[in-house]
Amino acid sequence: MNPIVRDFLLKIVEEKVGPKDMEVSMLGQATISGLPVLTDAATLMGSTAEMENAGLVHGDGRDSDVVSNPANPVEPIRLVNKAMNISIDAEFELAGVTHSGTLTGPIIVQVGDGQIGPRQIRVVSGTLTLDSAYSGMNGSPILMTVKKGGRSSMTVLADGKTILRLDLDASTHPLSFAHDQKPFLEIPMIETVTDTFQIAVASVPFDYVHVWQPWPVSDFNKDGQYDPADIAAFTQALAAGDFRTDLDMNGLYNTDDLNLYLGYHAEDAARWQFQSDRFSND
Amino acid sequence: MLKFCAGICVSGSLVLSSCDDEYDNAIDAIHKAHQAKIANCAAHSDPPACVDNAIDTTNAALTAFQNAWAAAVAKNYESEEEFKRGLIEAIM
Repeated sequence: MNPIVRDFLLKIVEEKVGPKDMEVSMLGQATISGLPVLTDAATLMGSTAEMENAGLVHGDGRDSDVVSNPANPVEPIRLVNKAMNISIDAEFELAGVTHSGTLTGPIIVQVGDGQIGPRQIRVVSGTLTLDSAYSGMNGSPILMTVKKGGRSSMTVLADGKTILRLDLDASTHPLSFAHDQKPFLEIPMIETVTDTFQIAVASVPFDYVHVWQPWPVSDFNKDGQYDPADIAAFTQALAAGDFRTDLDMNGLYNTDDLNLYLGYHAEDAARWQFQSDRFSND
Repeated sequence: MLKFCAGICVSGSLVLSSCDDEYDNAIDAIHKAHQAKIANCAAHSDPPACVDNAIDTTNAALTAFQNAWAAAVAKNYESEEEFKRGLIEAIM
């Protein structure tokens, strides 16, 4: 199929067919810690070079870097990494049943040192855990990781109204297909005291908590076996720009994706072999 | 349990909008995109070629979508998620 037609149809299906956004109600709090946490970039995610490679920082966004205040260019702002701890009681309806659970976790943010009132806060990384009786992962909590270099943002307005917008990767399974990993979670909040935010939301749209299903990309041709035919099928799909093969989700179809795939495939094949040997030994 | 999109679009306790609606909405979206493309052809350097291209693309999209939909329906998926996934697979 013509790739333009294919991508167009996928967009149509995404928008017009199947499950729509789920509504989630939330009640909770988020607090940005004043403690000197994670001021060392090396503790945040490896070395500074690794952070830059991961798109986390670009020179002027580095922790402890000094940047200019756009409102007053002669006034420098020192950016500091801090942790925002989120704790939310969440309720959502799925298949006619109301589920309740908790949404918790630390989000790493960069704040302008000493800034209060209306401001922008950079969302750097972090993981939220949705723990409820329902789970798309067979009883395990769903982990939602802030995408590195994604479109997360946090804006505090003059009246304290705050929007935290998280660009997440909801898959905890490294082998699931990329098109299942696009949740956006927007959490309206009110800053009641500096760096303390109250969350009381009747309903906020959220897609893709529930549609995730384990689907090992290693078994690319889905014949139930991990064999060379999967690698051949993946390579062919990669050459055709099949978006399932963009495993690092950077919009490029290259050897990085192939190397990732080969790693996953080898891992799954080894695991399968181990299980087979174990059963035959028993 | 009734199968999703196998003639009727009710799956378990989940009452869904009808498959006919979703199919019609998708076809409608393809037509709307086509109309927008035709309108934009006025500003194209070669409007007739642009229109021809738009018609070809839309026809290809309609055929591919109808085939993919039929293939997904034939699989008798039991949930809306599975059906959507099957539809995506069929398109890809």
